[in-house]
Amino acid sequence: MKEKLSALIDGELQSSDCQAHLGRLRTDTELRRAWDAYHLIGDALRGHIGADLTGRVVARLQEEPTVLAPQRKMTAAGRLAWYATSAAASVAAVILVVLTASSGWRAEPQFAAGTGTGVSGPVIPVAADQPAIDATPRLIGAEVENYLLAHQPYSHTSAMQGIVPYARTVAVERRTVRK
Amino acid sequence: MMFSRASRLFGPLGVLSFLLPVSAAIAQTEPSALQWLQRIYAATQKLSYTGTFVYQQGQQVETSRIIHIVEASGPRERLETLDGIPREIVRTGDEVVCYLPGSMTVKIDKQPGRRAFPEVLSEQLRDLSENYSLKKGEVERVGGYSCQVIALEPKDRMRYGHRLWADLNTGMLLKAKTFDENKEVLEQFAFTQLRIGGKIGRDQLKPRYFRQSRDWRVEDSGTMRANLAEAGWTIRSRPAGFRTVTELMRTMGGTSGVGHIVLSDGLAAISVFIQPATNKQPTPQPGLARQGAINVYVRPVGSYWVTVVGEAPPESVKYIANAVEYHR
Repeated sequence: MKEKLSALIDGELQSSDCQAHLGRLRTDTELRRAWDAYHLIGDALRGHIGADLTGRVVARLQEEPTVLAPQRKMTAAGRLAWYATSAAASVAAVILVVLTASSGWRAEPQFAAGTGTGVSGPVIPVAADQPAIDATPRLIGAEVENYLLAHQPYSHTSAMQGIVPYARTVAVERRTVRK
Repeated sequence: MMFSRASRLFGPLGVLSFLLPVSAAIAQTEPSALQWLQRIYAATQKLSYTGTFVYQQGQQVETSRIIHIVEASGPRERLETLDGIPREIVRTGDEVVCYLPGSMTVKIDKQPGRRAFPEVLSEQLRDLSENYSLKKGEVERVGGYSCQVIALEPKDRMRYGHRLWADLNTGMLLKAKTFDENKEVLEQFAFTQLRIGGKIGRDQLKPRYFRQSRDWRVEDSGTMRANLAEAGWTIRSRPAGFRTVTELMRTMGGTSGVGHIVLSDGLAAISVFIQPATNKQPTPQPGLARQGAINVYVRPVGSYWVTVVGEAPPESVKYIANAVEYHR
């Protein structure tokens, strides 16, 4: 059923099938939930969700700090994403996108991708049509952090937002420590 | 000339004019996108505030709290992370101190010879308007504040696009998004809670880990101005619009004598690090890495490692890394 749902979302369903499936969506609440979730995943992959969710994200962070701990478990997404230029790797990324979009969806939508296994990881930051990435980090995290710290004062965002962009280096430390 | 007119606009009357209904006369004096940028830069130098903001790249969201107080000597600020591993960053003038309880390290960095703000600003804005098209967008709400949207479209593929949200009243930047050439969001910063002005106790600037950190390892970058061209290092060619802003020498990760050249196109900055290969350091692997809008490219040059770091597309970062040359 859910495979059909992703086919429907991707516009790959025959029109007769399509009608039947849309009818089922009207009555089946679980299917409808999956529909919402798949669209949310799609939006996340395309970078269409973000600051508008942050209020809710922050509220949740403050409410349940422990529940969020798994998010910071070292997933491949957490590491510096490495590009590989081979076509094979691009194909792999596309397949991973599909896997992510059709795998089960139980956790809270905002966090599900972060709590997932490495599979959902490397795909998230990179759209499928961009160069694919090799999840193996080749720079030592601490080294990257030093470069980022040294670079940060010259970043344009530093001139506009003061110390705010240093939050970038936090993201790197998180990865380094959890590795 | 435009700037002198702008400076009048940014007085109290100018601020008021944004609040009045738009009439033909006021429409003429409404600040342009460039003048809005100037307001944004000026706001960090003038405003005191406390707030909570999120940094998002990909699926990763980091929440931090910031305290920013402007004193006679300039802004002083403290950033503290709210989730995960605690970390604090304190900036006083040209000095940035990072408290990293996770590794029990204090990192100290200085920006030597930083030039006066207004002087740098007019240069920056001139470069910026050559490399980006500026457009004013709608008025949108962020964190409870009505904000002017400003779009910066890159004029070529060697830099990213940006969208900025600035508070109508104060010009403070409340949200910033960086886009790649496909208009996909690479990263964003956004305030979710903010209080501008009011009384902010100076004690809030005091690092939480100040006392504990006395026993921690201290890494001082010992940064100095340097002439790397004289030492034999040049960047043969560079993407259009990128100029050298400064040349430094620093200690990084225990290696001293690391060269640091900063390039900028008026908005995006790219750092070139030149590090002598040593036995105690693990050998870096050449290649490209990224995080949000930051791309990192590593390449060996003789017995040195050249690492280029910048909020610019992979093509730009690679281009610059490949143009680094050593002539003795």
